[in-house]
Amino acid sequence: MASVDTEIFKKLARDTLTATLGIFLGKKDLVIDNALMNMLERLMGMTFLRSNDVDRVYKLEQKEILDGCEQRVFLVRPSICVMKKIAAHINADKRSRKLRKYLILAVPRRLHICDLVLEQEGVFGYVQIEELNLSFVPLDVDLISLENDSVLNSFFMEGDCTWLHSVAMSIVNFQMYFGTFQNVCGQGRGAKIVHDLVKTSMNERNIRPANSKIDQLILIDRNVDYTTALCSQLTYEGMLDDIFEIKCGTVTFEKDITNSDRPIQKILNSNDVVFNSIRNMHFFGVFNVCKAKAKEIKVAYDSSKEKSVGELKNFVHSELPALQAQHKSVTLHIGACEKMMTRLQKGTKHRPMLKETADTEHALLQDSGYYADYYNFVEERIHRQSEMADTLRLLCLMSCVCSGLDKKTYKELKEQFLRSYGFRHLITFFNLKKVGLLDELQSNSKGQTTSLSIESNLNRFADKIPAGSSIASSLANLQKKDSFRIVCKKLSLIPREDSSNNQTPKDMSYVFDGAYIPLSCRLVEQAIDRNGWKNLEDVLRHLPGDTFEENQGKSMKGGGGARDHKKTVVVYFIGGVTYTEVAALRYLAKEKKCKIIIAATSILNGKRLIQQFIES
Amino acid sequence: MTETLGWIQLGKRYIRKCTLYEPMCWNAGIDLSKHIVSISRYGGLIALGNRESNNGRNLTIHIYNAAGKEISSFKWNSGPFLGMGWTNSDDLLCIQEDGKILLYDIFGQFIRIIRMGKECEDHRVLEYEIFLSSAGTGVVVMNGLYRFMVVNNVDEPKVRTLSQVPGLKSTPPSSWCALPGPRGCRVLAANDDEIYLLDQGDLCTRQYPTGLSSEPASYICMSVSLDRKHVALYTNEATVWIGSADFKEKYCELRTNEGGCPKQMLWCCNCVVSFGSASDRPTDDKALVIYWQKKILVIGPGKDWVRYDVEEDYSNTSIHGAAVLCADVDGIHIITGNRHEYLQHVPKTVEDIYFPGSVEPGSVLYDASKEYERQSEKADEYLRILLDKNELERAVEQCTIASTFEFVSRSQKQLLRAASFGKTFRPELELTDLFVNACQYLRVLNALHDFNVGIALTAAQLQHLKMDCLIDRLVVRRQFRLAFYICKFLKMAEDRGSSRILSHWACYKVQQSNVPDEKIAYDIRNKLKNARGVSYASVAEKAVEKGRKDLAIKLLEFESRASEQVRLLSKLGKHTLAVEKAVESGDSDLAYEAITRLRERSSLSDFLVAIRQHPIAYKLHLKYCREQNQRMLKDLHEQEDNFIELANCHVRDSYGPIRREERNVALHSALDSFNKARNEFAAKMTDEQLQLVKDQIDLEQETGGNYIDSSLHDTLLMLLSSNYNQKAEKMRKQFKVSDKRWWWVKLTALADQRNFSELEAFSRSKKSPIGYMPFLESCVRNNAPKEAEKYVSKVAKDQQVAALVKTGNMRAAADMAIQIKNLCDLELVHKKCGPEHRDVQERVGNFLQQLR
Repeated sequence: MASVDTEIFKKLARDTLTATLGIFLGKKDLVIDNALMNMLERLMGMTFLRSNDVDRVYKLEQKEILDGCEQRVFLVRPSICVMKKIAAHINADKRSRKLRKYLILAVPRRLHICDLVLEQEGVFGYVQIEELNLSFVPLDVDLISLENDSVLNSFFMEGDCTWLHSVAMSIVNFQMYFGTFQNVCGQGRGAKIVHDLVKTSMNERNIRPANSKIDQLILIDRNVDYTTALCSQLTYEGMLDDIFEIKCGTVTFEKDITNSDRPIQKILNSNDVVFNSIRNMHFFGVFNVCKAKAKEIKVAYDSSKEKSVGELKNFVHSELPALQAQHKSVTLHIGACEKMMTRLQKGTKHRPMLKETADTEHALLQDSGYYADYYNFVEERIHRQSEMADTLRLLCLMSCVCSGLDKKTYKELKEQFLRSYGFRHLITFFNLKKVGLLDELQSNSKGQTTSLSIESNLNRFADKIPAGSSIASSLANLQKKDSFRIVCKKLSLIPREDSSNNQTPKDMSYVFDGAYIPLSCRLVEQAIDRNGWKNLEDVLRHLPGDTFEENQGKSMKGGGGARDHKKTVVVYFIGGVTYTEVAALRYLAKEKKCKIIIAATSILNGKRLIQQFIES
Repeated sequence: MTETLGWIQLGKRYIRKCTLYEPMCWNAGIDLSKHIVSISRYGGLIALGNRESNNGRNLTIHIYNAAGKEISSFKWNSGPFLGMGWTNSDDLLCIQEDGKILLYDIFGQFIRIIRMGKECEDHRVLEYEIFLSSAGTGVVVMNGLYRFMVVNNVDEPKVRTLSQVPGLKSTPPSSWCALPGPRGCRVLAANDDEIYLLDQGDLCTRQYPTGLSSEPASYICMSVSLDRKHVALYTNEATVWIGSADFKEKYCELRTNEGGCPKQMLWCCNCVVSFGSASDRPTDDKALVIYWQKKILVIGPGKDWVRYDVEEDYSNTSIHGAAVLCADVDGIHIITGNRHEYLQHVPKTVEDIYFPGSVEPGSVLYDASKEYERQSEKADEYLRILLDKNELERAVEQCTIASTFEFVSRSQKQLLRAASFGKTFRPELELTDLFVNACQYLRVLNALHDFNVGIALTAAQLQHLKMDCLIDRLVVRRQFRLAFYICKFLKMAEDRGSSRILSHWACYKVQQSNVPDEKIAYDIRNKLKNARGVSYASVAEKAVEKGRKDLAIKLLEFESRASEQVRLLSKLGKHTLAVEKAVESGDSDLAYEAITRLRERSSLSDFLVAIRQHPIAYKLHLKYCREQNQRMLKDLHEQEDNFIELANCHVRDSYGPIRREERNVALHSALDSFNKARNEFAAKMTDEQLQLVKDQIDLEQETGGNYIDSSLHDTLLMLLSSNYNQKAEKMRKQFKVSDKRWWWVKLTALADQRNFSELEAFSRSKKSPIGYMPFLESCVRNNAPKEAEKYVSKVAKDQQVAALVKTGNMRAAADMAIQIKNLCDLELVHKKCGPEHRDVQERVGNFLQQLR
């Protein structure tokens, strides 16, 4: 069975870039799209770029860059507005009679539309356009991401499948290096499209995957489970992301935490021993672990005092560097913990107390009688003008849990919201409705009579209607009536007893104070157990999008000795994954004694999810 | 021994004349001397054109396979016909006197025309020669000015003029021939007794044959071998000089005693490397073949010669004895009216085995096997010799290889039996591989030799040609079935074997203009559905070429590569279908490309009608418009009656640095659209926004502040913060602002102004709809704990401890918590006590323990 080494993607990316930059011989400047900045920093680093004859690196902004050398390389996502910016740069050079050669590297693929825009702007003849097929960024040994936020917006909202193609290609790539997936199963429209694309492109390009096999690939659309992504995160890494924002696996700690005069950028991965031990823990336990670790380090330091000269020499050489690194790390994490603690327990004008918020969310998830209190809670947020994305997040969470707000509540909250945050967000509400994050309940007279048979009829009917039309969406609403509660019950997502003992988690619900097991992770668990969706149709029926499953090839040698090998599973989240889910899946992997590799189009949190749909 | 029958010694080597086909399939009465004949290399295709056809009028050209079976014929209807020859890809070059060269395939289909230039057109082409070079097939012609023009490769016809023959008067060169080289073809030409090598760009060097015994008056015939290593000169005194092509080495000189110019003079030599022979012994088989009317003379390099009488067999029959010779890479085709023979040096391996008294291991094994069949104990004796000398392996090898050189299946079998017999004692894998390979080769070769197929390939030629190339040739000859079975038999990879053949077959199939589209599409699909990697697009492209658009579209249905499908559909002008297919493929980029093309090629209204039928394409187009063409976007929404989206566009327009009228227009349009969409809520909100904007504009004029683009809440807050209380009150009424909101706004404004007295007054004005905790909190936030404490008593009873904690008065909080003995409150206080409240924490801690 293949051992999957995610670092290979870094090497691949570097090789690809070297080859592509080689198109221009000699010195060249790099102009980088903001959307790619973090990704490139993580993958390449300046020293690597220098070794590829890169002279200066600029950010792609509206402002023209008139200096720099004669060869310029634009490293960008292929979008209309970026192309317009590039055209403006080139035109500015032309006006000031600067002669330059231009190379546009479109990541991960060249799109026809870019050619079109460049043509319209009259610079097509001046540029060479190439593809730079960067696939995954390995954020950790078990976490790889395409770092492409726009999948949510373009696919789930606008129905544009451009990026799904990239997702499919990343899977094709994966199979080339690590082997075919024996079982592929998925839930969601995007997942289905991706799966089909993978199949056709494997066929038509005559790609021969690596010889080994990987047990399973599970594809899940983000809209299958918005709820989990909308909840406040309570694991350490999740909170770091919510509060400090982790960009491409790197977090920036400001001066108030570093206790020094400059902010520190820290790469968060399993190489950091301290971080690795606390990242997936529920936050409440973290502080104690950090303290214990700090003590341990102190003891180790102190022990050096009693050492002989020879021992000391040895100590300085072998243990000290590691200790120092750990010490640095512990200090930082304790600093971060303190900051988080304040956020947890103290509100500000626009940021309410996190603990209260989380508790309210959990009450909503657990208790269907809690709506009124939740309503008041959200209304107060609106009146207080709390952070907008956060308020919307709470609204959407309510809608997702209740499978739509009742008509009156929906209207009232919307009105209040618009009066607080501005009329333009009328569009935001339309957007959220389109992607199914925030919607109203359909009138009850129809809904209640919906028996199972009618429901399946509706299903069939819905297939014939072009997606996105208003009939389709209202039909979808009829089908999904109270689906979240049904799914909760069928998959027992709400643990019976309160397992709020945070130190030793009993199941995946620990990530949410024992209030709720993330739906997406539970689905993964089921898929691993059943090696597919067998007999789960009853549940999946209530989730949006297509359900599919395919077995590709028999398991090797009739499964003899299959007991010995550790199952390897790849879970791919189309539309992003949260650190909370990552933590829950890591817990699951430990429980099931299998290897889970988490792939995603991007790393998500509630805020970033919502922000994709806010009208600016 | 029968095996060596027909072998004739020539110096140290033997030559043999093998009969490939007898009789020929054509009418045996044919007189080849009355025809222009051309025979192709690597397979022996024969093209015939009647010489007496009077300058090409009434001329019919027939093309036969090596067995004389007609493949096609076509009537010559072009200019004055001069001659013809085959290219190395089995196309027929027909040369006209005006210097035009017409290219035909073996089915007589015209391919293209090559022109040798104006000079040839004006002065007629007198003679020509077709040669093979590393670049491909080339042509040299000599025109009426006795100048030579060369095209080195007919696939990229570029005419080059060679230098003139020095000292030439009004007569043509007495003889000439082409000498292809790595840098293009040169010509050897003789002006009577002077030989020149003519090169491009007026370069020309005189050549002096070494060791000429007597200076002849003129050279009347010359010939260069296919491998360009040897040259032969024939003088007017019937003497032949043969030597190396650079004239520096003389092989021999011979007086032939024949009258008149030879009809043909050519080299029989082995210039291909085949099985085994390269590894041990480089062959240097060369012999010159001269053909006169009645006899063929073969001259070896050692001045040995052999004479064949051509007419001896035919003296009493009606069959004409005229023969035509053609040099191939390892021998010479000799074709007469009723037979096709092949003259070659007996391959060394074969010679070693059959030569009487040979002691080569192969020969011993061959004898052993024969004795074995005769059940003679000698078999054992022979075998022991081989085993003792440890030569059995080599013997098996020799027999196996020799078998491939035999044309008659009886000899092939005999040799293979010998090999197989020996192999039983040496079961090495390499030997088995070799044996299996040889058998496969023979099977293929024998299948090719069948007179219906009529491809006269020798094993050496096939080796040189490579199997892929053979398959191509079979495909060109439309021998799809045979090619297909050969691929299956040899287990060739699908993409270079069966799939390739099937696509060629399909390409041929679409050209059958008499068969209806449906039938062809069905047949093709039927045959190809199990083949991997067949490009339907290329088949469809062929159909397009043949003007069968509908068929092409039908075929494209089966193409799995969407990009190919879409590309071709666009090319066919089926833009709508292209969009549909592109969308189906799931590749948005492809869809975009198709949409753009559709947009470019059709009128706007047609475009809109077409695109609306494909929701995904439509969405993509919308997305494009949103960023590039707002106007178009609105038009689209309007036509689609998608009023919500239309309204959204207007809402977007109503923001930003625009003039107030524009803002109003935008909002009114939005309102209108929302009404049309029957979205009461949105309409109401838009109406409210209109009102708000109107008020904000007034406010800006009255107060000079910036209000536009702010929400109602923010506007109120700004008014209150700037102490425009009246205006705020007015707005409150006008917009029916809820009490809750009003209290929040006012409370925030007052607290942020640190106007605590006013705040307190406000708190007393009425019972607060939002409770009093917010008052307390906002005071704390504005660093006024003393002010905050004023509200503690007003906070609901169960929250008072929490309230006190918030004000920071831990002592009071502790007192109260202890008094009401509430566990939660006590814990809260205990947790919140900082280092400055150690004593309080202790007290609460103790009390907690007591309670527990």
